[in-house]
Amino acid sequence: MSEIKPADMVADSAIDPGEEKDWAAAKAFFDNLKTKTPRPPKPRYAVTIAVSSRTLFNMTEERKIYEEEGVEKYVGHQVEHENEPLKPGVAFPFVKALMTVNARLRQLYPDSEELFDIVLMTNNHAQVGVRLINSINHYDLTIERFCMTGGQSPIGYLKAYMTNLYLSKDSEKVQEAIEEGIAAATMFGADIQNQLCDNQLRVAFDGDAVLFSDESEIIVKKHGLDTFFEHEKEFENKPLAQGPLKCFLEALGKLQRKFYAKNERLNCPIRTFLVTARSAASSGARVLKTLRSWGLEIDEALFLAGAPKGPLLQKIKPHIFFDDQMFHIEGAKELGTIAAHVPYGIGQKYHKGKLIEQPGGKK
Amino acid sequence: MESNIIINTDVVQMSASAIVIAVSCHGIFDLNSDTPTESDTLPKGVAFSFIKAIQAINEKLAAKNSHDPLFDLILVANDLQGNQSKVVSSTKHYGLQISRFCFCTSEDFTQSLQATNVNLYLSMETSDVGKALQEGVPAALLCPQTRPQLEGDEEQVASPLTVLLSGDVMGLPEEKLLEAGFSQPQLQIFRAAKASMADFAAVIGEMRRHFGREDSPLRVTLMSVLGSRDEWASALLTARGWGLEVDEAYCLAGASREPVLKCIQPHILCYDGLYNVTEVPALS
Repeated sequence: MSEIKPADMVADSAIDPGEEKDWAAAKAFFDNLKTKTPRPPKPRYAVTIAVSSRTLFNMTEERKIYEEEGVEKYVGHQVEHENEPLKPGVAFPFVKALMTVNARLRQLYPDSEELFDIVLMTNNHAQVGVRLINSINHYDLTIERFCMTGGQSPIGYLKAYMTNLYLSKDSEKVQEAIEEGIAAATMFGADIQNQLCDNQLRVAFDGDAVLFSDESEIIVKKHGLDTFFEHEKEFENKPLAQGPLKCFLEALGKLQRKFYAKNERLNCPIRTFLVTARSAASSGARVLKTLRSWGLEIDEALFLAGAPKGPLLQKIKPHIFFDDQMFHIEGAKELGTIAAHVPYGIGQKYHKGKLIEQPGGKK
Repeated sequence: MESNIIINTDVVQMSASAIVIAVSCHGIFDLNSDTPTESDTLPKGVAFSFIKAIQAINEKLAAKNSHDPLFDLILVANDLQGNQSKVVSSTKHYGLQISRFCFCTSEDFTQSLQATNVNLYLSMETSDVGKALQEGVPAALLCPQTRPQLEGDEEQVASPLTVLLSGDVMGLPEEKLLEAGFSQPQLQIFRAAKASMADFAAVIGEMRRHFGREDSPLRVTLMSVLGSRDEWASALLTARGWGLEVDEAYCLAGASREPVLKCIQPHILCYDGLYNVTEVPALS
């Protein structure tokens, strides 16, 4: 079985007898057509990225109408303007980079289904779909699968579409997705625009509570840094448990190896970065050994020993940076990096090192 | 042909302007139940909640005093022989707002339906639906519900009546179907399904406008399985042209239908006959 999908997703969907029949019918239908556009990949073998409409396009104005005037006025506005393309949103550069990788993969492996598959996953009303399609056509984006739930939660659909990664502006939905075992993050736009690479997908990850579980972070928060260093040295050879984005890194690694197999390592259009507050000397070894034990490679591991992440990220210029702590997200944004918050683990209860008093309500 | 239509005397008959839905009793009641019944009441079937959803709409429309057409339900039973009285007594037992019963055979049921001016015939059997469409009776599939039903007879809020239209039928041009290798008989079914959907869309479009975008007791969904995104968008616009604004829409482009159908849980699924649908997908 392909490691492109997380193991439990594959197990859950094993009982769908219609899947092969539906795929065979779709393939037969498509293969007879004279169209030149490539067929979307088979979901089971693809790396499926679900993006919400507000991350793909800039809908701040429209969102304002929704919040101030209600859903009827909002939908009416979208329909009225449906021939005006929307402006690009925070996930737009990431999506363009995914398309670049797909183009290279198709060149090297014309018959493979192991590609990025981008799905528009939104709880928007279907009437907004026309404007979204017009906008997608305007920018010539390769998005062929859509899920517009008309106000209902998209969480069940994430599994139905075999999602590897879900990006949204709505932190509650992202949290729900993570609780359901789906890699997800809340996207934040950068305050300034860094010039991003247009022929290589660059993805940066924080370590603890993103790629790895928050077990070590709990030690830092509860017992302080010294205990943390001692603990990490003692357990250097014990792999950390996995975090919510480990499977996504794994999927990226699988695609990278396809380039290596064709002698394209130096020219690989995917590059991954670990950007961690850990220090190389005192707590870095455990992280590298954990990755090795998982059979995963990361192209560059950057240990900041507590220094701010913003300036380094500004040099790396990733299309997306995943971190569990809002403090780092804000630091990234300020210096032009598109950041995505992973609401997982003990970091959610703290802000800038201090425990947040929780009255129990979310905003 | 009127001789096999029986009026339900427990229920006020609807006006001629009502939207007539004839639904097969298989699925509303469980006619194959193993449990021996001394009573005359059949157990609820897997699509029983469809009736509740229809009734909820009628109640809300009546409360608005709108004088607009309500749904008028006919229960259809093919080849039922001995169980006819059980179907009638079960209907009365559950207090279902079914105005008429139509007892017929699998040979003549389409003629009986035509005589009732039915707006839509629903059955869980694709063969019945296909036959009805071929004979010019608008028809669609009735789907089993797997959402856990509320306990007891007090069902506070029925889940909204969910109608699923086929984006492929509405958005794919015939030239493309021919190019893809579909036969003329398949295209005939396609045309019949499209006409059937157009008529039904017009009547429920009117009804849908009485309710807001959220909390509506009637929801319309569109799903494309084969078509591209532009054909899917074209289907959305076709629906608008028919007077119906779709609430939810899904474009699968070859992804598996069952997991998505399981999330949508439609009551009514517009049959497209484009490829072999041998049974309504087991949604459990």
